[in-house]
Amino acid sequence: MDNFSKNSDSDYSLKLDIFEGPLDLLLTLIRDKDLDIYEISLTQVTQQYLEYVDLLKQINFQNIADYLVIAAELTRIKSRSLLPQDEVEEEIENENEIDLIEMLKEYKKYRLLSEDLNKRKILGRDTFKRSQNEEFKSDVLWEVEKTNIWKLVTAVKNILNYENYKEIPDLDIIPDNINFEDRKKEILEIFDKIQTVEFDKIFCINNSKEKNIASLLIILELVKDSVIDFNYQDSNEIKFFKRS
Amino acid sequence: MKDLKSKMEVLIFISENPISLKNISEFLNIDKNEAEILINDLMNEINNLKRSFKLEKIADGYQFRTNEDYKDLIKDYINKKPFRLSRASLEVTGIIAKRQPITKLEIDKIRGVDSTGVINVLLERDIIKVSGEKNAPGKPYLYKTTDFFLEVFSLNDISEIPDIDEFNDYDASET
Repeated sequence: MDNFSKNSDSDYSLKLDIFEGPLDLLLTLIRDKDLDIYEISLTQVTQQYLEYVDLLKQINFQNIADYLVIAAELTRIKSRSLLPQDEVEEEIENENEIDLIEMLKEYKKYRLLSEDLNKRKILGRDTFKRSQNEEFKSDVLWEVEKTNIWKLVTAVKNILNYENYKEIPDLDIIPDNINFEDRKKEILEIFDKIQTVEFDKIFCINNSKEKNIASLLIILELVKDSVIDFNYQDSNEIKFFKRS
Repeated sequence: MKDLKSKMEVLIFISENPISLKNISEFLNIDKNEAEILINDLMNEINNLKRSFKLEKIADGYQFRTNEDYKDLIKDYINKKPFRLSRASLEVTGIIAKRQPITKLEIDKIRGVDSTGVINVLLERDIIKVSGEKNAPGKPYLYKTTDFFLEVFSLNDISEIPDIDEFNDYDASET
């Protein structure tokens, strides 16, 4: 990992707003487990949340500090849940703590509101007005991003959790000095040749961890720049495709 | 009467942006209430024809808009890469619509993450605007939604946005 960050990340800090933020991640994790917003639910997803933050750290994600604030709070809640009851009461006095449950509940309302807005008839997507301009201005068409970026991150995370990466000394994986531009070229060439690119064409357990993380960074960038997109079927199998 | 309605019709027809009742009634020199009755009549007449377009009340004005059935045809015809609104920008739009006027810091607090990039995109696309400064340390900008926001989301008025506390009871489902 050090290899990766020393050599290549200085130019590649991910300034994406395709991630909705730490509360969105937390809400997604809670929802995936069919839980409601209670303290006990938070302790059940803490470990997972920390794993995501770890991955986001590795891709040098710009807003990582916001994720760490919530991580600290989750860890605090979790450790408090392990304390005897009387000690808990003492600790609650702490004025600096944020009320994560309230934050999540409030955030969820706006999350739902945005889904509600998305269901409306959107000008330039569902309905069109008269245009004074025969050529149509380029901003006449609108669309709302459909993909859930956490699906992609989860899939990559699963690959990185694979046994291969558990520091086996004599394993034949040479620490790659990943060159971003080369890898990006490689990936773009794949998209030039193939219409629909399978997930394991890009992310593969035989690749070094560094290469997979670099690929994730590149793919996220391409998604952000509307060069490519991805979808997933019920099987959760991710497929990438080039956007026209 | 028929004549008056036709006059209203052409005024709406030539306007790219929603034209207000005030503009129509003042120009035609008729009473605002009378004009509203006539326009409602006109809307019913046109929309009952079930044509490829409708007359709609948008952003406190009137506008001709295409029927949803033709959206794919139109997109094919225009044949341009659409502007993509991220899920995050939709979220910030919703927050501003509900809580306006609101500062960036207050938005960040709700979302738990910095919203600078998203706010800039929304400003650039004319979905939101700066409405002033908050009387607080640093005099931060206050943001509001624009009339164009109402147009994009087919709203006549900001009050048509649902009460978010009603969302409390049912669970978030993926869209």
